[in-house]
Amino acid sequence: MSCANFLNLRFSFFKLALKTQMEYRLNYITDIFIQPTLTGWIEVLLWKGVFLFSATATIGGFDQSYYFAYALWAAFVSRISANWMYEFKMIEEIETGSINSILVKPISFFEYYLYQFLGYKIGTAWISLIIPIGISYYFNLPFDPIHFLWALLLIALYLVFIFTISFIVATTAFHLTKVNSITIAKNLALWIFTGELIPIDLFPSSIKNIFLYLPFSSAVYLPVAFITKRVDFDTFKVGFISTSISLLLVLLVANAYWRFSLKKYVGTGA
Amino acid sequence: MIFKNLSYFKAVFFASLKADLEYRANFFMRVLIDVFWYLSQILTFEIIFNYSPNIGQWALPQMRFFLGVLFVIDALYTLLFHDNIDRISENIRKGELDFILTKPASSQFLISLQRVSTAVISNLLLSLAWLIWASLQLQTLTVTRMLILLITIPFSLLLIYSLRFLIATLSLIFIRAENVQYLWYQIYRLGMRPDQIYPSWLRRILFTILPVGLVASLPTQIILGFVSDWYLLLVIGLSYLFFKASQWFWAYALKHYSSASS
Repeated sequence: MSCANFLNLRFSFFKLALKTQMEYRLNYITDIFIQPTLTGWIEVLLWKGVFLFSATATIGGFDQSYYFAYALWAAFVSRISANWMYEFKMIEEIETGSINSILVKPISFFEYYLYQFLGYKIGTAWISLIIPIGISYYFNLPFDPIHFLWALLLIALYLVFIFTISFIVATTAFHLTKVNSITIAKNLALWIFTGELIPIDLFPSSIKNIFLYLPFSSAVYLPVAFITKRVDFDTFKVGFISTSISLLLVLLVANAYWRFSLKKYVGTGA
Repeated sequence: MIFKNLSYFKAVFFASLKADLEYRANFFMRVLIDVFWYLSQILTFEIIFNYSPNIGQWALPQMRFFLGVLFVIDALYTLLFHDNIDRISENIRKGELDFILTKPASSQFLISLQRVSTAVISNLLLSLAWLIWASLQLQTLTVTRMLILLITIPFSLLLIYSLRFLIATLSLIFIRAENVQYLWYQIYRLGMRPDQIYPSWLRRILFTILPVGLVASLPTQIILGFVSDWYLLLVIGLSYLFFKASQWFWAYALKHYSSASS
């Protein structure tokens, strides 16, 4: 296969994801605009209420504009860095046996879904992130455009990492009949670990340090805190290091686990 | 009719228990899911109160009690209805609704209680334990006030069911509306915080058009004596009204339903 064919094939899966999603436009618009806007708004209301009814001007050293900015960006960034849909799809392919039709394709199951996942995420991220950028400028919330570009790089790296975790979870479907609940439990746990729920810097310092050095902080806390000028570059780069190391580790595990599982698979569905 | 429905529910309960126990790993994961969910709610307020001793009338013990009320109602809803209502969109797409419609019972009843999430029983126990613990922290709480809680819980449950069912019924009209269903969770999140933190216009909405504020926030305030006991009538009245609305909307949507192949 020539280099051009190799890239064309992968890019076609990249585009496939966007086309599939655009088929159901109401779903698509809800996913990229309505849901994160509502989530961000609800979280902003919480922080507004907290600052209004408590006799304090700052919490953890930051005033309310930092919390509004954090809540707003966290809602959008977490939508981009989460992976429910493709994990459920991969699980379903394995559970029902429809994976067979993918196994005979000239691309691996991992890549087949990775490019669709990245295609959808990258294709929607740039549209969806226009909202928090606009709101940040309009309300003069803390925002740094250069930091924003760095944060996008970290999110892109995290997407490959979290997809690999999803791939490992999906591979479990070869061995267990119902694994959807693992996805839900994992994503709820990530809700806490990523800092989507509450900024990690508000946790007691011992917990904060653990959360910060885990790769999951690269999903929401580190990019959002860096965009909204809550952390400096030294703290931010911890995300690159921890996510890169973790990615290498999960890729090794995913590869070994997939090979082991596929050997046991008899082609009739799990 | 009631006995017939009760005997149906009993059969569904034991069938669900057997089915759930067949997949034990899944059973335990369901328990874990709710533990993470409770933990996330508790952590949010524990951390906020760590930085601010009061939010309006609410101090940490009152907030813990509020969360207890919320957890118990939520656990009951998840036990009985959550999975069933979440699957309505799929029931429609796969044509399973057609089979339900042929059965000699209320289709709303059947589709809402196809199975019971028996794994959630352990979460209900955990929620009750949290509520009892939080109640003991509040030294002002009397037995009479706790009796009010016993009255409000069934109505809060009816309200949350009716609201969720109303949104799920949209699937009959739009067929593929999973993300619209997710909007429910956003609306529900508004009810997962004490309503006083919201601006007054939003509070009015949360007590009328989208009354998620009546699920846990208002009942907790009645029990804690923050508002008059007369508000209990609002919880009861609106629960009944929204239940009737859910029945009407389901019947209306069914009239426009032209089977899964449409």
